[in-house]
Amino acid sequence: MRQEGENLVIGSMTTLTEVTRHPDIRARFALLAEAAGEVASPQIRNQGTLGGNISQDARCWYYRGGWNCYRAGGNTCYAVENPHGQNREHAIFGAEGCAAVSPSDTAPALVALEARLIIKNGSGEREVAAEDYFVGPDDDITSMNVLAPGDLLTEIRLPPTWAGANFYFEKVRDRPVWDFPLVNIAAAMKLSGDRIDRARFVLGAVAARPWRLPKVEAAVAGRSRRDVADQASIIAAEGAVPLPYNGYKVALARNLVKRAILGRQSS
Amino acid sequence: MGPILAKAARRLNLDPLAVCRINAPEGRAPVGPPKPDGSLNSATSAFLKEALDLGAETFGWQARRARPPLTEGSVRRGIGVGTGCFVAGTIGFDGLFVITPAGRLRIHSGIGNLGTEAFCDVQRVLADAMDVPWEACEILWGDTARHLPWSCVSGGSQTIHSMSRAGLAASLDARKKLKEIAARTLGGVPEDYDVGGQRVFRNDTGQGMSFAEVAGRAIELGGAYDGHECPDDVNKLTKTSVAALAGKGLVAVARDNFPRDGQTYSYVASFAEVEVDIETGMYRILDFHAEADAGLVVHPRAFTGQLAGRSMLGIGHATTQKSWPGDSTAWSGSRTASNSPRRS
Repeated sequence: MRQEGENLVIGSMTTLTEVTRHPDIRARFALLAEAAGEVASPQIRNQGTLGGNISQDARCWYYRGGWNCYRAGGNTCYAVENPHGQNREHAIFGAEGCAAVSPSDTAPALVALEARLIIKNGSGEREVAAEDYFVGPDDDITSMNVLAPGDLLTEIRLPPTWAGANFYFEKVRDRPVWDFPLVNIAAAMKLSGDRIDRARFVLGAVAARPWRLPKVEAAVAGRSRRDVADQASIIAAEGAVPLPYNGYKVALARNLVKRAILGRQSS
Repeated sequence: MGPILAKAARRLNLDPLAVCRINAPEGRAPVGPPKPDGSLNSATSAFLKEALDLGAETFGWQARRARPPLTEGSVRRGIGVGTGCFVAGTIGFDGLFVITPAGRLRIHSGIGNLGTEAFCDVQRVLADAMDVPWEACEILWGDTARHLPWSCVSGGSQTIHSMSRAGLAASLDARKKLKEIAARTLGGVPEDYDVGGQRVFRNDTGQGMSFAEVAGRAIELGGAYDGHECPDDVNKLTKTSVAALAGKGLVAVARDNFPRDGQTYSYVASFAEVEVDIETGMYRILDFHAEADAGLVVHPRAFTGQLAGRSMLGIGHATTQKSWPGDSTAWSGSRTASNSPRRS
């Protein structure tokens, strides 16, 4: 990790434990430190890297189990198109042909912080916004991100835009430790007293990519937290299409947005 | 049925602990499905009511129950009590060991090691029964090429019960053979002799033979004494092992034919205090206490491990598993049904 101009630059091979403990990240981008600290288990965080965590493959037991689904190059989605499909952990947003989700905890945090990602290959280097790094099945059903063969994610750059903002991260999972998120949320808010000047809200594990909530962000801008929390919570689930076994994610998305605005104890 | 009765108790404003106590088996309680003649099997014993009483006192059930409920915020707190039982012992397995010409006990153990060291710990029963120091025992285990006897499945709930009985059966066979050989060698009748201190000796004069001497004599005598003959009632796997050991010393082998007065079950009463966030479904177990009715504790550490391990299994069942009878797609996972988050 190094400071480069106004940006804090994190090498993609930085371990999640290092991200969690680094004083600059903790002081200025606590959202990322907290998200990294919620990944898996201490042993995995000691080995797993930030670049790896955001670039990991989809969570879907059919796809991961070797079933020949759309994402694997086949011609069906076992989680959705099969009448007995088991889709409790699957997507409620953007499930175009594939309902697998991004299981990353740090990806929503990087999108919320407007991180920039550096990708290198034999021809040179390019920079993409974190939000554009991830792709949904409507763009490319066989990929989770824009990395092409020969590409390497080398750096994550955190601009000062949200440094020291009011952050909120929460991960809901079946087990309190060593588990993927059922839904997580990363939020960054700039406040003037109780008024939200501007904010970014990003849900994880509800779509194949981190799911930003621009309508919620627009609705809360310039409003008092207490006045806007209920409205924001309703907007949060607009467009959600729950599957037979994951309707609970709609309630989770709403409740997490409300908690992000009001705080866990006040919601 | 536990969760259903707990919910019923709550609706009827009854103490769930009292309901548990009413339904707890007691004494030689009937267990399992009816036999063909309509009668029921019974447990060897059940002290679950006592376990509930002791557990409730330790856990502070009544004091916790009297606390006012949390009504502010999204967290709710509650206490619960449950009971469980498990088949805790099968019978009819074989014990097998050899008293070698060096006077040592070579114990053949068919028990696998689940990490509890039961494969050797259980054999301490055998050492006690033979009055032999543990240092004079050698355990052979883990590979059927080492001539193992027919043994129970390796499980914390089974092994001590099943294989200590089998070990005792083999020990009684060894003591009988030791006395017979001593009587044939030194005179008198087997009843004149006793076993202790790695010797077989006359009760009146103390004259006797060391285990080493008896082992050599057993080889000379052959037949059942050194394994050239084998009891008919042991398992064929044991017979094969005995044949392989023939001539190596005094071969002690026997099937557990001890009587049993009922079916062997262990019981447990569990108490938990839990917090649940009703906006997310996330829970925390604040406190947990398990009180076991398990009879004589042979190995305290293994017993503690068994209680902790099975408690974890139960917590896993309670928190993450559910099935719908008649649904061919029954699956693990309960959040959509039982602890789905509420809209706040």
